[in-house]
Amino acid sequence: MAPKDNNVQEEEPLQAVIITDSFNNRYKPLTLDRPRCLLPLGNMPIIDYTLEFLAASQVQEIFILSCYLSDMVRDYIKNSRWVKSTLPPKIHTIATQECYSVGDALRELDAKQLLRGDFILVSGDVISNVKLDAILEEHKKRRETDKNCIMTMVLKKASPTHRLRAQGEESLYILDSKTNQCIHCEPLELYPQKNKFKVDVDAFENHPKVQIRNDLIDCQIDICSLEVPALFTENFDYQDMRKDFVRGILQSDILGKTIYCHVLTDQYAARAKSTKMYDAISKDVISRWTFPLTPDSNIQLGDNYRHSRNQIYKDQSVILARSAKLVEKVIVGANTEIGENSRISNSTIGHNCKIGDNVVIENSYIWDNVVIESNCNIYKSFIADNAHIWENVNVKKGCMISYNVEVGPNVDVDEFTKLTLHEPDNDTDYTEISNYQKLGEKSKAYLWEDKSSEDDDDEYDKNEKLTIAMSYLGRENVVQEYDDLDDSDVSSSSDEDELFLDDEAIQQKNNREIIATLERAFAENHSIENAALELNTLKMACNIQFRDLRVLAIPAVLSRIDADNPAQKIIERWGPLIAKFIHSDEDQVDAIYSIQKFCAKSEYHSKMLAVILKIFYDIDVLDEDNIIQWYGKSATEESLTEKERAIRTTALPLIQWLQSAEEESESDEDDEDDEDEEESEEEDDDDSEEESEESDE
Amino acid sequence: MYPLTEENSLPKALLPIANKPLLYYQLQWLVKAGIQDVIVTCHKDIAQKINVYLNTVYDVFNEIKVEVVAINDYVGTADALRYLKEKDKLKQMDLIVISCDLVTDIPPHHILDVHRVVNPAMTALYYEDPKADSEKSNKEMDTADYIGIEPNRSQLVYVASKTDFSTELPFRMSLLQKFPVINFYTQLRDAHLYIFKQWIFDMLLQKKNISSVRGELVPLLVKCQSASQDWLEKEGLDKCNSSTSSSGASTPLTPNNFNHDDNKNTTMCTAIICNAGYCGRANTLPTYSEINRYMTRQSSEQRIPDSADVSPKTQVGPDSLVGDSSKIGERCSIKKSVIGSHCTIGRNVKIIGSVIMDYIVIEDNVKLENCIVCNNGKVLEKCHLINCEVAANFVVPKNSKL
Repeated sequence: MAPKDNNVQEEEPLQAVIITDSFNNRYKPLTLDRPRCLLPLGNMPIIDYTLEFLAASQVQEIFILSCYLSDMVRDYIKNSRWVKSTLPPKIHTIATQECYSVGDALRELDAKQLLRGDFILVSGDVISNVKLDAILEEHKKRRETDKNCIMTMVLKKASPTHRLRAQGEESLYILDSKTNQCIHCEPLELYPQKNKFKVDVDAFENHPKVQIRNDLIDCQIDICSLEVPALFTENFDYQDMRKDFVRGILQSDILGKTIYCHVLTDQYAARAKSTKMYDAISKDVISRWTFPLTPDSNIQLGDNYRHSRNQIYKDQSVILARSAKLVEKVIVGANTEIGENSRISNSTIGHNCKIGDNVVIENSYIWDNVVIESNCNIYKSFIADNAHIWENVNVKKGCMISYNVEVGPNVDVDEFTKLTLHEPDNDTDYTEISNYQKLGEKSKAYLWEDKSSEDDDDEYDKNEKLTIAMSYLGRENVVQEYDDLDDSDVSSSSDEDELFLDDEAIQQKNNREIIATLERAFAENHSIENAALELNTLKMACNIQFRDLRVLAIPAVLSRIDADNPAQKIIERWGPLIAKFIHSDEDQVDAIYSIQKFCAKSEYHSKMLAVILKIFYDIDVLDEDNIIQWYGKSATEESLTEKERAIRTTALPLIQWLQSAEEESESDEDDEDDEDEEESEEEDDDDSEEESEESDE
Repeated sequence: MYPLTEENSLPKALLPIANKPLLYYQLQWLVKAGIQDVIVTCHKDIAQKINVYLNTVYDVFNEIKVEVVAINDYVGTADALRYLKEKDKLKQMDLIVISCDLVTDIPPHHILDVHRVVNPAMTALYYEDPKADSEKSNKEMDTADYIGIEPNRSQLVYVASKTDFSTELPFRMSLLQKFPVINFYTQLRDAHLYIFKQWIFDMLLQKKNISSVRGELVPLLVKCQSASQDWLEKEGLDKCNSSTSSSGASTPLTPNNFNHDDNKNTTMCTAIICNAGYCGRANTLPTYSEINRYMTRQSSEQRIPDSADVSPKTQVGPDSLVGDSSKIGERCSIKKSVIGSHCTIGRNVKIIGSVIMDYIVIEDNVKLENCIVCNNGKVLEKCHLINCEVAANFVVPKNSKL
């Protein structure tokens, strides 16, 4: 089955394995219909970059392992020029079933026994112009001296704030200065945020001089020996290449295997791991960092790009209206038409697109056969194949408009909206209907939502979620905020040692941050979802509880009530935001205490407690049970001030009204339930209350 | 260094290396560096001995002014500096702080040039312990440090003592944010040669709790580089920095100091790794013997001075040195060793890799290997000593075998 080339005799053919699955959902909904490796980047499927790169490195035989939508990968390869040409590399596609991780894929590979020597392992989204020959040589030489060397990781040098770094996914490496052996690998996760990390002293024992490097990007190009898949088979719990395998090997004394690194300094390598990385890589392709993999190399059949000033690549067949303007860093594919007075900058436009008059496209990726009618604005978004944007549509940053979706006319698409033709799983009709109204008369789309629910407390999930949130195109702002926070956080606790770990100061800083975010939301009239998302991000970054958010958000919202803005209006507008931070009955009671506390402080609001509670009750933020429970409990609460006690009584009419309304439905069981809840709340609550709930009876 | 530095013997600074006291080497190095004022601080008990040495023996360098300051209490290095500062002995300029046990042949201008060009708050010299691999004795492990150096500007960014962290080493993320690449060494030794900016002494005056240069002052300065502004304010270090750049006295050490970009990164610690020349510290007995051997080999002086009386049937290896007026009997063999002045060595004595100080009597048929015999010591007949240290005025009885 090996390609019978002349040089087979002298050495074994070089093999490479591409794992096309990413095992995450970063590109959804764009990847619902097409696997990630076939998404076009610079109007060429990503996998072609990977294959070109491997072919340039003299790889003879390539195995493409795919699980998700493997038919599409197979068909694409079957019809591609790779198979048609008789030159190496020879490509095999292997469809694997039931693969949930890189580990599974490698175990599958091991079972198939296809590999015969050292091989190159890459993922299907690598874009690189590295010549691997030298690195391979290095690896082979190393194998001669160090029999235990099983892998060489190719890492790219880039400063900690480099655009190609995916925040939360990079690692810190400790390498031996002489041999480049990897001694330690510390993942840098966004959550929980680490202010320091520890390294075992023993790790340095045989390495008098090492380098600690925080400036390396893992581009997931590995040169592996045959032991690697075997080790995956042995350790069937290994999932991820880096998190499990590399760390497992480095920490294990028993295996005694070693891993080396090769640091690239002047060649290009990156992975289109997320949409944000996709954006960064696209710009690098346009700026020719990836030479010779640039559009004007016309790698694909039928392409005929020409490179002109300001990094503009235009196919010869493009029809550009006289007044249309390509500003800079633009790729325009074959047979695309662009109308009068349209302006396009920092974007890629696919084949056979039709762009109307007065369209502004910035920082966006428009794939093939897209129709954009006149007077549209598109900013930092993805528009996939065959989508149709009707007139006067304003697509705001971070949107992903999937295949065949139609939007418009005359609408604004909110930030980070994801549209697809796939029906949502949970068949709640109302989102669909409201979408039709929101997205214009001719629209044909469903909103696609991340399924991951809000209240995952698992640390791993939090990190994952935060990482994903950061990885979307257009997320720069949030990242920047995070960066500031990161600095301040780190510095304030960097004074660890004996000096001072000033929790209070950190908390104050966090509080300021949250209040500033709230103020901004009020001032710019954000939607509840956006404000909640931002606050949640902050919550994770600051590592605080929902309660802290509530304690800050409630006064912030209520203090906006004044003569001009009646309570009704304010609470109906912002109450749902507070509702986002309330998850249980205990939370509700706690929230009422916060409201009470706030009202007691301000003369103006002191008479409004009942009114405020009533409105919260009306918009379903607070339940009658909990209001009544609060009323009973706070009667004997010792921590309350005089003033707070006084205004409590003003709520009496409301309580009576609620009780009368409830009496009909109330049963004895409820009482018992209440009691239980109170007890558990007692534990949650920081206030050291005495056994006050007994008095409720 | 016990028992070499017992009270009736010599202070550490005067222990001989190739028949010259340790202090000689630092002073010579400083002279080479063109330093004119030297202050020797020492404990009051030994001040007299050092004074005597400087006045009587050490008369070669008339061009430099050496002042001995005696300090009453037993104090740390930083305390000593503070004492000097309080007594107003220090001039308004950058200072070199050097330990009395450093022996090096690195050209001084090498270090001074770096200090002048980079203009850091502190320059420190590190050397690679050549013996670290082979002899991992406990004593040496104690002095070992973890050193992190930023390669581009050779900035010292991480210092940790091996004794403090026995299992795990902590790294702060803020540090790595600021310095993404850190060269990390486990076998570098602190040469105890520092060049400090003037303001550091002012700071020492304010901070009475710093008592050791290596243990406290250096880590503090290193930390300043990566710490936040808040922290600096709290520690009162920011003012120190700014006040110096405003005073900006041009000093002999920094003649080209124009104070231009002084304000950013004022507390920069530069590390110099000695890889060209020889560098070693005689702070433990093994290192002391090692340096002795090395310097003896390097010594350009006459191997056997005219005043020495060496029997012609005795072999003195080219890597050995014999002091003035020493007598060596017949059929002796002396290799890799230093014999001090006014020693009397009997017949058939074998001395290998040893340091024999002054006024020592060694009788017949003695065999010494890797030994140090202090002033006025006596080794009687037929002793076999291996790896021994003989204190001053001690008499090793006949036929001892150790």
